[in-house]
Amino acid sequence: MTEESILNGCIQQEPAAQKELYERFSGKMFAVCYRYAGNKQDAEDMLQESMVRIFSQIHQFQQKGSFEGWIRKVIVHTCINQLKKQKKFNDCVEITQAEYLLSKADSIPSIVQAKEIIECIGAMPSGYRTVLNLYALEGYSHREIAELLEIEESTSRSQYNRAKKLLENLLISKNIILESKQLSSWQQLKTKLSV
Amino acid sequence: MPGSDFFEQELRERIQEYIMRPSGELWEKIEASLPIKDRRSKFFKKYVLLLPFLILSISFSKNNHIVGSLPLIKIQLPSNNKVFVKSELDISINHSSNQIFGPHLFNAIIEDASFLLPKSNTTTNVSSFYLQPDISNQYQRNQSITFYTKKPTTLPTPSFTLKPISINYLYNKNIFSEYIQKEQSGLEESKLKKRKALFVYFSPTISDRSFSPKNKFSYTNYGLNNNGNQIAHKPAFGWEAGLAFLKQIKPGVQIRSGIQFNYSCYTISASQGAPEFTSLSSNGISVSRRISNLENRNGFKNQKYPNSSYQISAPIGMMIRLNKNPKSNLNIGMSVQPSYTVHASAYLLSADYRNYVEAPDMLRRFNIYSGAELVYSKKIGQYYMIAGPQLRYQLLSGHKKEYSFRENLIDYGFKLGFVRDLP
Repeated sequence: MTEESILNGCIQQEPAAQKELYERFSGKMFAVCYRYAGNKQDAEDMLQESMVRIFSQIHQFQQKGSFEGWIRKVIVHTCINQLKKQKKFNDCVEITQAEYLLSKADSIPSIVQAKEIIECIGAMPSGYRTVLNLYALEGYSHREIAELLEIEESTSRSQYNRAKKLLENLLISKNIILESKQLSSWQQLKTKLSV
Repeated sequence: MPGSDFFEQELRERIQEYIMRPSGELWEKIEASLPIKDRRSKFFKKYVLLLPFLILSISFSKNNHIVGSLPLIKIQLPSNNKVFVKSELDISINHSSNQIFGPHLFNAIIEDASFLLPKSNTTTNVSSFYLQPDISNQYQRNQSITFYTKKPTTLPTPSFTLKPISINYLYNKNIFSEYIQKEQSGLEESKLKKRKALFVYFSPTISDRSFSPKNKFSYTNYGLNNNGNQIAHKPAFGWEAGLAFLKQIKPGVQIRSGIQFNYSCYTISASQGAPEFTSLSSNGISVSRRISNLENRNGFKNQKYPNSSYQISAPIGMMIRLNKNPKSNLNIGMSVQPSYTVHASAYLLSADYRNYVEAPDMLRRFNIYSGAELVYSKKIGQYYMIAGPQLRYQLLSGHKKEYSFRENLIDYGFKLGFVRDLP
C-alpha cells in the first residue's frame, strides 16, 4: 500500500489501512515512546493512546509536511501529555540538586549502538529525558519546550545541559564512550580518517 | 536549527531510525479502542440486504425497544450540568439529539483536552477536564459531543468539537467506568459478542460415591443391620484439569466445550482372607463368579485399597453470568461430560457383602457425568481469574449392569483457572 492509500483508507476508517499504518510505523514510534517512557509497559500505553489519537485525527493531516513527521508529532505530544498526567514530568523537572556540569563532550563516537544509548536515556530521570528528547532528538527549541512543558525557558536550558552531562556520564560509566581526553584524540583521529 | 551541534547530530543519526517492536497484543488493544463506527458500518455493508427489513421494523414499532437493539451504554452521571476546566472556565454541554433513537444520545469523551484545544494563551494552563453532565440517560457510542463556552471568554464559540471516541476507549482508560453500565447489547456485551476465549483450569477434588443395591436386597440375609453401615468406603483426593473454549452466544451466556482429565479416587477397607468363590451379581450370572481373598468384615490385616480411575472427557456446557459487573462477576456453569475411563483400579463388593473382588473389567468405560460450578471471576490484566466450588456427578452407574450395586462417583472440587480472550 502506498502512503497515500494508507492515509485515505485511515480517513475512511478502513481496518486494513489502519493495520497497515500501524505495521509500518509502530516500530519507529514505539522507540520514540520508549525514549519518553523509560520502560516498555508505559511505552506501550503511550503508543496505544497515540495510535488511537492518530486514527481519530488523521483527517486533520494537511499533507503539507511528511506523514511520518506528523505522526511523530502526535506521538510526542501524547507522550508529553501522559507524563504530565502521571505527574512524572513535573516531579522530575523540580530536581535542582543534581550536579550541574556543563558538558564539554563534543560528540559520541559512532561506535556506540542505538540500543545502548536508548537504554541510557531510559535510565535518566523523566524530566531530563523529556527535555533531552525534545531538544536533541525532536529538534524543538528551548522556547517551544518551555511552552509545551509549561516551564521557564531557562529551566529548559539548564535541564538540557544537566541531561546531556548525565547522559555522557552514563555512557562513560558503561564504557560506551571514552572520557573527554580520550574522546578528543579519538575525534581527531576520526576527522583525519574522514579527510 | 536547535540542538544541532555534534552531540545532537550524532544522537539523532543513531537513534531516530532505531526500531523497537512492541508486543504482539498491542494492535489488538488499539483495535479494541478504536471507534466502533467503522466496524458497525462494515456490519451493515455485510448485511445490507437486511436493512430494508430493519427499516420496516423500525417504522412499524412505536416507542418500542428499537433503542434496546442498538449498542447503547447507559451512563449515569452526577447531576451537574457543567464541565469544569480546572475551575477556571465553565463550559456547558450541548449535545445533539436523535429523534429516531431517543432524546439523549451522544458520545461522551474527555481525554487530554489540552491537546485537542486550539493553541491559545487562555488555554495553555488547561490540562484536564472533568465532565459532569446533568442527565442520566443512554448514550450512543458513535455520536459526537460539542462543547461551548458558557461565559464569554476569548475562546471561540464553539471552542472545539471533539471527535467521537468509543465508550470502549473510555472504559479501557477507566474514564467514567464507574458510571458505565451495560444495557442491552452494551459495551461489554458487544465485546463479548465477538468474544471467544480459552479457559484453562485445575481443581483439587475429593471423590466419593453414592452406593445402593440394585435389587433391594435384604441386608439381614447377610447379617447386616442396615444399609451400608458396615461398608467402609472413604473419600480420597483427586484432581481435575481441563481446557475449554468459550463462545458468547448472548449477553452473559457462553457455551463451552473442551477436553478434561480427571483422577477420581475413594478407598475401600478390606481384610485378607482365605480364597473363596463369590459373585458380584445377585442373580448368579457366570461372568460375575469370581475368586476373592479380600473380606469385608472378617479376615486379618485390614487395609485400604483404592478405587481409582483416570478419565478423559469432552465437556459441553454453558456459563451464565449472574451479575453485571464486567470486571468481577459471579458465574454459574453447567456441563455434560461424556467420559472414557482410561485406566482404573476397582475393588467391587460381592453380592452377599462378604468379599471384595478386584475387577476392573466390570467398570463401564464410557460414562456420562454432569458438572456444576459456581465461580467468581475477576479481571486481572488480560486474564479473568476464576475460582469457585464445583460438583461432578456420574450419571450412569460406574459398573456393568451385572454388578449388584449402583455406584455413582461424586467429585467435590474447587476450581481455579483463568480465561483468556482469543483473537
